[in-house]
Amino acid sequence: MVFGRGMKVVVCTAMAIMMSRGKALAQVLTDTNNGVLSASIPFGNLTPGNSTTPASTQIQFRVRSNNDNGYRILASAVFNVTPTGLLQGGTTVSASDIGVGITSIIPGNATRTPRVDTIATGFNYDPATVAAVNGLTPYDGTASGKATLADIVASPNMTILSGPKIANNQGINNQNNFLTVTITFGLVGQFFTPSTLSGILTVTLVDGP
Amino acid sequence: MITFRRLPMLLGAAMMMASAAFAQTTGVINVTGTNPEAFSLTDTTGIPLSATLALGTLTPTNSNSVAPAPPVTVRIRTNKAYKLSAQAAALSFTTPGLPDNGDTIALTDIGFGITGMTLTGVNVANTGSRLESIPSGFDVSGGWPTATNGLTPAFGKTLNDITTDTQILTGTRVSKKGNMATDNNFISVSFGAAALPQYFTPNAGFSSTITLTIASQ
Repeated sequence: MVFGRGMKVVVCTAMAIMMSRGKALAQVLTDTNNGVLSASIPFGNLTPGNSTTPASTQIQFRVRSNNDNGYRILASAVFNVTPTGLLQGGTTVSASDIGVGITSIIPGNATRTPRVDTIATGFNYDPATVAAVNGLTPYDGTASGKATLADIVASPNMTILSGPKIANNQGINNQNNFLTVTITFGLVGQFFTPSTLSGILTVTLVDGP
Repeated sequence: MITFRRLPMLLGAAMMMASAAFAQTTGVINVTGTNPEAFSLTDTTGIPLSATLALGTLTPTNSNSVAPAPPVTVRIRTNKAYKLSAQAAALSFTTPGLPDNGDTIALTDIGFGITGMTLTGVNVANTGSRLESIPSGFDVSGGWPTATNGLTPAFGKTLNDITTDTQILTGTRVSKKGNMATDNNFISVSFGAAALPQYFTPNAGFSSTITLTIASQ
């Protein structure tokens, strides 16, 4: 077989793409249907009640990685409030009012064991079960063990979860080679300034450690 | 054997495989919510208000002092400027006696007003500098008027003045934050009623339901 110069370029390009393919396959982060994770989780109408139990909502996603150095989940966030009423000496809801915690990590049957997945300091709690003492926001931030969205806004690309190699392969057709991670958000409905809120949390899967 | 003719096909296949298999490593989670306009009226234990202004047995005496009912205190929480209104229903009587050309107690004989307010709290908006507005006649924090000649005194307002939904208090946003379990994000407003016991037509009891309504200004 004899190739001309132009043919060598074409073949090299194909090889480069295939190598790129091999590298990119090391990590896959999807929703629970193996699709792109793009979810909207609404708190709905946060009418103040007479309860000390926060409103909560959660999201689950799948993490696959066959990188020998393990994996890390990075988080970044932005937060926006659109007031629909006047401040008048009151308080408007902020990112620090929204608790964020990783409430479960469930390994599939084909994941490597034994394994120790590490939740970053402050994120290892369930915002839904923290009592809102005196009807006020009960989350004090990572330093106090109860992370909020404000902690992530302040530190883009912060690691919230890490661990060793997950499985020997990362194909999304495999139903047992992933970790199912649950993130729970909590917020106490209060007499905040009338407003709508929107927080966008971006999670990114990268190689460890 | 690889030929020139097949190479474009191989290259295309490789590119398709690469495209299909490219890893998804990022996800976006959008958290949304709404803080609606919120107003609440509760009793001092935090439950919806249902209370009684009890004037008791109005036995005539030799005094010009009215008999006030123990005031009912209401907690108000809002995240927006508010107005409070009141409406009294007609008097209803239990076992009324015969008037025999005498007078029966009426809504005009029962004074009604705000006897006091507490406007401070750690989570009260503008605590210490709040200025609630009470329409003329409804402020009885200085006390009830004294009767003359043992007859109904000149009350600033009586229940007869609120037989239709009537504004009795307005103010700016009350609560900074917190919910109805919070012990320092409300103002307290006490309402009172008073009447001078007189030789009105006897009865075994009378009542009028006063409905308080809070809404956005």
